[in-house]
Amino acid sequence: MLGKESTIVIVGAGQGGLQAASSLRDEGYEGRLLLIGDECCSPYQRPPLSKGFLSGDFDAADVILELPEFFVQAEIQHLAGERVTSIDRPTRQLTLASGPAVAYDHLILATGSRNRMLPCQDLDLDGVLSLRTLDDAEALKDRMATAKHVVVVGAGFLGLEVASMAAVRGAEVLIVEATERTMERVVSPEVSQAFRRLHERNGVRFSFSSQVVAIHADAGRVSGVELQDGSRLSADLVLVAIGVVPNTDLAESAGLQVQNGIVVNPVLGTRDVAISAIGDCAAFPYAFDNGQCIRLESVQNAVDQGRCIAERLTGGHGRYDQVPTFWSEQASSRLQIAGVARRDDTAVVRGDPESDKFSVFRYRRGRLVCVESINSPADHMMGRRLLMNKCNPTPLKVAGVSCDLRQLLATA
Amino acid sequence: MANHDYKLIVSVNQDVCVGAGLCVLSTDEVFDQRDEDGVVKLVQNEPPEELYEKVLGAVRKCPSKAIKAEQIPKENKEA
Repeated sequence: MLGKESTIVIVGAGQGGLQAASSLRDEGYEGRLLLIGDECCSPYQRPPLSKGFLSGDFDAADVILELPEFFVQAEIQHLAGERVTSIDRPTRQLTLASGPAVAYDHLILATGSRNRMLPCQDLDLDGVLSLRTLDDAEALKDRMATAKHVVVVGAGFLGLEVASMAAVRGAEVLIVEATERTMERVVSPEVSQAFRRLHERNGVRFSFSSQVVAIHADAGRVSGVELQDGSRLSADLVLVAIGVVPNTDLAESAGLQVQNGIVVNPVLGTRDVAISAIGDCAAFPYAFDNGQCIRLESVQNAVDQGRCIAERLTGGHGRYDQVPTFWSEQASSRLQIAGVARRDDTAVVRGDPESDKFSVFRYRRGRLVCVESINSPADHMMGRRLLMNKCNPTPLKVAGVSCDLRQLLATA
Repeated sequence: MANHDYKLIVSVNQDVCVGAGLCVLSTDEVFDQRDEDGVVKLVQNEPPEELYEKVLGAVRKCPSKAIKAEQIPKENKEA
């Protein structure tokens, strides 16, 4: 256990890093605590940035997670606008971009992820945006106020959320997606289809199995995009939302194992006992899939791993075994997911898939692995519990809407 | 403990809650989750002052912004 004389350094002041810091104090850690983040403001939450922030329901003050007073009271040194350039593992020291070295007894990497870019993307082109930070969100909101022709590249959560907001504002919105359906990587075809329908009802158009090969400009300002079939679409705003890559450079140059994320064990430790990794940047053994290594991008994952590492560093068992959950708000509908499915997992529909309210239970070799719910929070909650308790209701039972899921949990 | 010059009235919007449960982590003396769907429910809507910081933290951290805490100015007792 780390005592009063020790130093824990957390690199990355997003939701995971902040949670680790505040949980360490909640768990009674009394040593020095440093939270280093490359953004200049107080730590904030990202999920509202593609939702209520764009609609104007919330502003920057509403997404701040902790105010400066908190850091004073909790005795957490928050180094904002600072970057870590290297880790020297033998001497347990970090080097900061501003010069000084910082010694640590334990280092938590919560470096998050960054947005993937299109090969043809020109960073300086006016009107081509991506969304990750509060600054990005401010810029996007400004542009959305006047944009008339919006092209969203990527039909994942982020692209679809922003597309809904742009459509509500009256813009003509086209989503260009490389695969043949929405959220292809993470949901069943049934849920993809339902959301396609919801978006189309709002006037959003899709171009599936399509790729943007060029972005055209007029006097430094975006004028349109060109697809692989040669067609050109005019646009005064292009949002690139084609996923993220984990920030692993620091770990990799320190010689830690990296494979689609910083590889950690079931207690979120790297092979260096003094270094752990949490959140978007960490590839961890998934407790519900025989320890298969996965990497997740969600608030639940960042927060729960932050709490988990704090427990371990203060004497707890520290095994990470939470059921992953995700949610998205699009076209006035809510998608909630519990668990993680793969593309070829079987889909069992509960409810009417032609309606705006149903759930899909995903099975792999006869075992329940994931529950996707549209506007059905009770199914979602039950899905979480079934997965947590490793219950395995038969597909026949879950497909029968008259069957009470609570009974399945009680009798399992 | 800081002395507040306002009274805090808490309310929740169950329609937008996504059941993340972060409010319960902030303080289970004010927030709870409905058993059937995980949606937030209030244990009390006028929490004691010692919980104000935690309640305001829960408001900030709620990912779906389902919690509101209204600050009502207190009557000045010395006046």
